[in-house]
Amino acid sequence: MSNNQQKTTLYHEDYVRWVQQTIDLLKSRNFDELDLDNLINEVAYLAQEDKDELQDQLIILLELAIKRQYIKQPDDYKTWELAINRTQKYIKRILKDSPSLKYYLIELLASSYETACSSIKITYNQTNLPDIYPFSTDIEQVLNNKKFWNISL
Amino acid sequence: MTITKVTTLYNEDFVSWIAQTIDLLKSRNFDELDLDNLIDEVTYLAKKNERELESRLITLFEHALKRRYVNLPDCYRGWEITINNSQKELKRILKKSPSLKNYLMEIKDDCYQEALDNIRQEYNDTNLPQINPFTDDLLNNIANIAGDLDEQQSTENNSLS
Repeated sequence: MSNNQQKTTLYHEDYVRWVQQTIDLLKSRNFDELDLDNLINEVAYLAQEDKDELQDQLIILLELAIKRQYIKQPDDYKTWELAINRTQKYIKRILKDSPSLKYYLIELLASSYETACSSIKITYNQTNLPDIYPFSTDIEQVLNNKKFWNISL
Repeated sequence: MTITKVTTLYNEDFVSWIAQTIDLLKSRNFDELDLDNLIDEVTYLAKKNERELESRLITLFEHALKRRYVNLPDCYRGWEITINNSQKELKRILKKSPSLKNYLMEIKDDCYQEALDNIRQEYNDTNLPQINPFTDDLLNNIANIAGDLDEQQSTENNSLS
């Protein structure tokens, strides 16, 4: 077995032990023994995780905005508005750790709107929703304006 | 000076720090690495697996408790599906990291207590055992749980009558 194969074997056999071994190697600055390929993948995964969470939260935010703007259920307006505000705060917390993700968020608006629309169509049997993202494209508005869902603003 | 610069990036923009760390690793430029934060992040990977194991185990206990002690037959199917899914997830985590089996045994009783607290709040008129009544087999053999339970319950009922 080559040295490289040995390094990657533990990764597949027991992930948590691989993590512990990697920590030990980093602490002792024993870089030559590192399973570098898997370490790079794992570090990349940390960024992906934040991006995925951001996208999940954006979809939730847009679902709520669609409901508030297009579903006529006044009894639910307050609940939806509170949830919108909560989700805005949550997204801002993620962005506080990684401000550069703001650009990623802008890129995601259109596709996340499509995803949000399709789930609202199923839940509320509502087909009358705009095909194109109808809310503000100013990300500061989307994250800070409590009524950003109001398209007449 | 370089170290200070790199460490600041970690606090200023986590995702940019990751991109930079990956570049440094790929070019084997180990001297420039922000090693302390990298060690913290790798540690987090292991902790995340432990936390997931913990939360799946709590979910499993919660639904096993409901299925065994809460008399709501209309809910049985939904609870059984959740039991089954939690088992599959637990098995997936343990397959990826067999060494976590020891951790699972360590946290088992604490997880049961947490599940018990949660279910007591939800069904405060139901009598639930303070001591974990489930065998370790609960983790491997959930398919039989409902059947075994119904058998056990009818035995208990028979002995009462």
